[in-house]
Amino acid sequence: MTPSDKPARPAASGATPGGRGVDDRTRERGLVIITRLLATIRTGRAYKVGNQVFTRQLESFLDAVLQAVDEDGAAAFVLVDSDLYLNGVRLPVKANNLRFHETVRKEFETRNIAGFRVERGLNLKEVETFFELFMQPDDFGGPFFLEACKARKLTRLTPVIHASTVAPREDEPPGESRAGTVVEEDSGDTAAEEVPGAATGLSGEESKSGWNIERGATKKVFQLALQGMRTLLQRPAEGVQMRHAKRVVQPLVDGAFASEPVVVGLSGLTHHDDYTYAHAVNVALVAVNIGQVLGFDRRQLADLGVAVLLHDVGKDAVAALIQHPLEEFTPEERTAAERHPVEGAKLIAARTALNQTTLRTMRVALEHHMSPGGIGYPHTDPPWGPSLLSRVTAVADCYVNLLTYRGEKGKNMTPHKALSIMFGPLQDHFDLAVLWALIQVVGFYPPGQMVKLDDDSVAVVLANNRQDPARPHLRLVLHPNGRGLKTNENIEFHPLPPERNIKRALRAKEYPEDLGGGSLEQEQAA
Amino acid sequence: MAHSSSSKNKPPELTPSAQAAEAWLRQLARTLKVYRLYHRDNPIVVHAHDQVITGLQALLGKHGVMDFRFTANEIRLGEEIVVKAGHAATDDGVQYGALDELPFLFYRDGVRRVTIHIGVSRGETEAFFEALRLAGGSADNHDDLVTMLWQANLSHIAVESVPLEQTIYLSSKEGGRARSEGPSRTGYTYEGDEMHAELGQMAGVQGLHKDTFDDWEAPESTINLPSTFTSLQGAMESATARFRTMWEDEQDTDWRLKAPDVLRLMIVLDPSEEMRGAAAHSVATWVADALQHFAWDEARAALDLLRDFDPGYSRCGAELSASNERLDVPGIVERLDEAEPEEAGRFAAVLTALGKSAVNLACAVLARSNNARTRAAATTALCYICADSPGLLTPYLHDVRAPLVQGIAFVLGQIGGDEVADLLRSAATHSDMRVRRQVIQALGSVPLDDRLPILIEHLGTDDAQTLGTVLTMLTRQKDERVSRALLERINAPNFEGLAESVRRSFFNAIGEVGGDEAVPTLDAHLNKGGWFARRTLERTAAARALERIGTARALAVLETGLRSKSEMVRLACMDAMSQKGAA
Repeated sequence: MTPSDKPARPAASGATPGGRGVDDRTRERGLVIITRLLATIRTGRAYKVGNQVFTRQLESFLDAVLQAVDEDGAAAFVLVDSDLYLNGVRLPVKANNLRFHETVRKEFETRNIAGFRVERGLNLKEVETFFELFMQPDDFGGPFFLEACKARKLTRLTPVIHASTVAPREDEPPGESRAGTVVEEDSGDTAAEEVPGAATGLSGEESKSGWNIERGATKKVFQLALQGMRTLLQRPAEGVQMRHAKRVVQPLVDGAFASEPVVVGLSGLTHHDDYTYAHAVNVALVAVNIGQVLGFDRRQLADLGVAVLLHDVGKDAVAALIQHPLEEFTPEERTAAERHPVEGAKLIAARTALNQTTLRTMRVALEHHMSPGGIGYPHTDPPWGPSLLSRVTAVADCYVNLLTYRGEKGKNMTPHKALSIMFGPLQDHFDLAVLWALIQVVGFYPPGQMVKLDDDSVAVVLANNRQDPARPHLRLVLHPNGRGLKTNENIEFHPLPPERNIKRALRAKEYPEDLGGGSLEQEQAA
Repeated sequence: MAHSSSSKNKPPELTPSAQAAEAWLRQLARTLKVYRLYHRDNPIVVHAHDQVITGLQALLGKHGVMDFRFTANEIRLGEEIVVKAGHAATDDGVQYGALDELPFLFYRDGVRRVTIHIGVSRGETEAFFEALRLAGGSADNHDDLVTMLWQANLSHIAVESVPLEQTIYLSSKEGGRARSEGPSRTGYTYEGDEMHAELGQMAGVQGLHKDTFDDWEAPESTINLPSTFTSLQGAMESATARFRTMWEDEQDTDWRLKAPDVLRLMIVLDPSEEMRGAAAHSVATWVADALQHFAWDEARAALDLLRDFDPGYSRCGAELSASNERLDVPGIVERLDEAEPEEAGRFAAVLTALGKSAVNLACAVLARSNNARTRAAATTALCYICADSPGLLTPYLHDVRAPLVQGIAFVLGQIGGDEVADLLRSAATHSDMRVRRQVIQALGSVPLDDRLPILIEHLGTDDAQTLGTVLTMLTRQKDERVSRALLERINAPNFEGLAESVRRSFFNAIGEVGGDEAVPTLDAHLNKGGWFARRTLERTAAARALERIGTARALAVLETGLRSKSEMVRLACMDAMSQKGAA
């Protein structure tokens, strides 16, 4: 992905009903830009550049766009279909501003442009130059307008050309051939090693047999959710827009009903910050699938997903107090860490409107480290116990946390080992029903786990087999003699047939480094 | 409104299916409005609901699949515009009728296309309408229409929508991926709705979700997973059955019953001021939401809880006020105006419980409603809320909306006492006559010394009805100040120009409250004209006033009048004396 392909970041989180968020501010700024733009155009029809009246309008317009630039470093004001967007945020159409939206749309369409983009440092002179061209729609439209801007060295205020009529070139690299996949490209050359453990749950690639045709969709869904999550929680001082959260989880729920394989670690994280968002999305992914196994309907799963997305928001409040990894926590650090559920519930209470969804979300944040048996934290007296959504979240959270463990132990973690820990020493922390459901979702050998088969060959698990958790879908990676597969050799089991068995799960340090064609790295990269 | 407002604008070339679709959409729009106005079990709602469902089935049966597309002000069936919102600009913005609102209802939340297939079940249709009902009921709904339709999991109704936000790629500069050749070098897109450019996301922003530490222990010891799973199979099966039962119970429990426990637990776990503030905020939003959905009893219950966390609303009073500002007042008024009488009472109760933060809301309702019950609810609440601090109503005294200030004046009258005198004096200057009349009536509960100056100021009013009220109030007891003011008015040069009935009222009044100080003036009016005096109402009224004053001096004037050379004076005095005899 070249620098020019970075997406215009959708402005960050929305607001609580009681407060105003970044989305709200962006919308307000967008509406101001609309009115100033129209006023400028009106004035520009009567006066020429240089006239004081017009200059005042241009100053007013400049002031409006620079405010948007201040927020995000740059601003893109564009028309997509019939909607206007400022930095990716759709500007609301209301009864009393509908006319303005329509007028802007017509003005853009007249000039055959989609909008304009602004960069920091824009000055009045450049705005004058831009509008000098803008006010001549017959002469400067579409690409000509842009060329004219370039010819005048105008770089910080330029038209955006909606070139949907231009077909992509035949020689377009596949990864660049679909705008919708650019976000995926972000993860294509994954920097997974930046996040310990992120690659241990790697997924398989598409199979020739076509059994896994949904995998691409799964990955896209994950990336969309990740992007949505980033937007949802990007600004610490702002509120949490629950409507947005619900939209984020809908594809995850759809994925659960489509029985898409649950693959933790799809993220292909580009930088460490994404860990935080990826963790939430991964936990939501696992939790939603567990919920689906337990019989939740779509609405309930959506509520579960939203609650899970926000289960760890309290960590932000205590993060500064914790310097050591979990195994080396000082008593003070442990106390601080164990306060994160209460902090999370407090934050959600303070930044959302109370309703069924947010109450559930509060409870999940508060209770996801409580166990039905009374262990865990924060401590509460009977008969208080964790809600069922909290129990589901606890299991999903622990599973994902173990898979992506950041301490030293993370290096030796595998999906199977994570399950073994949860069914072993940590079992008392969980509701057995949820543990059972987890196995239905990921099997004994979750995707990404390497296993030794009964003939000593080594295979990687591609997906769970819900009919028999001991017989997942597999792809061979090493022959019994330890030889790697040839580049064009592809042996898969969908699922592992009855005559074959898994001897055992490989430990992390047993994972083969050389797979012949380097396919493990490819797998991980995928 | 091209199609909805008048048939003359309807394009003649509309196909039969489009016409049928338009008719059904009109029916749908009306039903949505009915949903908003009445309770769900109201026969009007039930009837409208059934009709629109039957109408849809008939529409699909006759014309096949309905494929609607939405813009902000249009609904298209295929290529035909079946609804086009027409609007007339007003000072308040734009006003829409029921059908005119329909395109925007879908468009607002991002719905761009709805395809209704043949075979859609009644259940699915009802789920669809329920989503529309909720979306149409309030702009402040928890879920947008897209989410509600998604939750409905419709199989025969396909919905296409745009996301809340878009990743938009722009390319307007050279370099990057812009092509180095061909006409498209300046920009391109692959799917027609996304563009590429260098506008990057902000790097390094971590935000709310700063997750820097693991929070689950990872013990070294493990177990054999398959065998452990097998050994736990029985326990897990019973646990799963129990879980599902508990889940059903949890679903059946109203979240409103659980919310107090959760919030109280949070405060037990963290009794900090910050946590109390968070809990108070949370409940305040609940109150606002309940109000928006006309759930008055629920709002009261929430307020009861709020007082636990915030006993005088010191933490969230401002927030309550702010959220009340955002309420859909026209919707509330519309609802209350149509509701049963008890509902107005419940509304008054919740306003009262809200306290000072409800003042603006109550005033907004007063300003908008002409319904006596609704107005009574608002004024009753204001009476309770402002009883100890009527000054809260000061900001509204000069509002241009007369119904509002009229209501405020009524409230001040109910509160009474010297504290409201200045407020009423201020309201008495309102340009609207109805307000001034109400102020005069309200002055009845103000102490005499406070109300007299205001009433006397209004002796000069042009409005006969107001003057009548003023005089009635001024004559409740004898008072020299009143007498002086009346005489001053009677002696004013323009008194003669007043209507006859007005002049008579003044004489009647002076008869009620006057004493000997009034006699000279009345004497002058009685004998006005000398030899050539004619019979006038004024003369008769002056004589009667003297008779009512009844002092020796007054009666002496009458007796003198009986002997007057002027017949008209004599007649007037005889008339007055006969009144005395009759009495």
